[in-house]
Amino acid sequence: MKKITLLPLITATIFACFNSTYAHAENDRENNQSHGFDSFFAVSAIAGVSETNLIGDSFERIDDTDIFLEFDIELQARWNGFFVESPGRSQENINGLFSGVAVGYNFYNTEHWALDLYVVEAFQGGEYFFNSNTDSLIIEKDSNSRVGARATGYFSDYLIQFIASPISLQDEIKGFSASASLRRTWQIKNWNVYATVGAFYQSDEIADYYYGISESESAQIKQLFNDNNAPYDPYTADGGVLIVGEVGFEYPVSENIVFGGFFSGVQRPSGISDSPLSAEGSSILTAGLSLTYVF
Amino acid sequence: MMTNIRLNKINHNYLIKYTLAAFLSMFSFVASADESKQKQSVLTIQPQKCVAMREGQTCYVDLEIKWAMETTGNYCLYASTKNEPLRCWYDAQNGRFTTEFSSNENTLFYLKNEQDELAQVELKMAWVYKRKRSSVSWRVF
Repeated sequence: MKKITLLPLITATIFACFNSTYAHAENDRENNQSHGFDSFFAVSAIAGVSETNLIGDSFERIDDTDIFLEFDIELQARWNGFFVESPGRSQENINGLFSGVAVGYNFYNTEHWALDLYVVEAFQGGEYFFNSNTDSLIIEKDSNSRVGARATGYFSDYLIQFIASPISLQDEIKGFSASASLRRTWQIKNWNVYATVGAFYQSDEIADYYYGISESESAQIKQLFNDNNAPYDPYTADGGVLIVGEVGFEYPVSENIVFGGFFSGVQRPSGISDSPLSAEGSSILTAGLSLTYVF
Repeated sequence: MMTNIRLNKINHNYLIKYTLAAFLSMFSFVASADESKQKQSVLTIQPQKCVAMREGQTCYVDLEIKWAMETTGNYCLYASTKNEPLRCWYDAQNGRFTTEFSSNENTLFYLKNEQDELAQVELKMAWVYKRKRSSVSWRVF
């Protein structure tokens, strides 16, 4: 199976190359063309708590509270309309709610809108591990890079973003995904408070690739557990709409350091959350604090 | 100041060093002539920089400005963003001014005695996110 997991590496490499010949972008207002290079680079440490329900040892759903600590690298490099980017935790304008690691081309701008064509890692791959007392089984799922178009609108304190990703670069996945998101930011003294809502649609083909269980996979899992009652019957995952809401804040500790916090809720489509392969339930609540260093 | 250099004490090893020092002292002498009024005064500001999240945003800061002069007199503190004085002191030799200040551009604060500007300090604005993409209006084709 093909794996498109090189995108972050390629992104970082291109970013490093660009950075070695760094020059600020200069806008030529007369002919509306951009020259030079523009970049954003930040690293974040995020600690928080997440609550959902998982599949327990006896295959039942149990509520689970998880404390996490993670580190994000966020970057974007732009040159004459071409860009590479990897989203992170900061609320810098490079990222909408559903942006992913991407390479692309900004082909049109108006006063308020930026239109991009890009290849984005829309779905991250991974491996499902099944362990019995005597053996183990791994079911691997590829990441899905998709060709799409993105329209981002900047209206004072509002950020609006529409994404449509109809073309899959992996033949075995296909399908269609699209999203819409809206963010409103308020400034209260030097604190920036924001609220974001968004909806993300993924078609049946995508949902079934990641969360469906084929007959052969079902047979392998049941054989592993030597248990026909294990809840891994063949499953067809329907697509649907995922809803996200988030509120948060950012505060500039210094010119380079940002203190932030957020609370988010995700409502997943039942076709996905009902899958035996789904490690998380229909809703996920997450709260966290972040410390970001902006280079 | 290096104006009292005794040439008879200079040996060859230090010739270049002293020549350079004398050269620099000429510049400092010229500069000090312009700054003679400010030299006797002290005007300080804390903090010296105000940081907001996004370029162009108004930055809020609790400022403390202190001044001290060699002679007692009437002094007024001004900001470059306002015509009226922020505060005046009468028959005073030093003063302290605190305020909650907001601006989205670098601001000069200066102390005046009647019409003479005696000293100035600058509050600089800084932002974490220095680009403002909404203002970008370029295209390639």
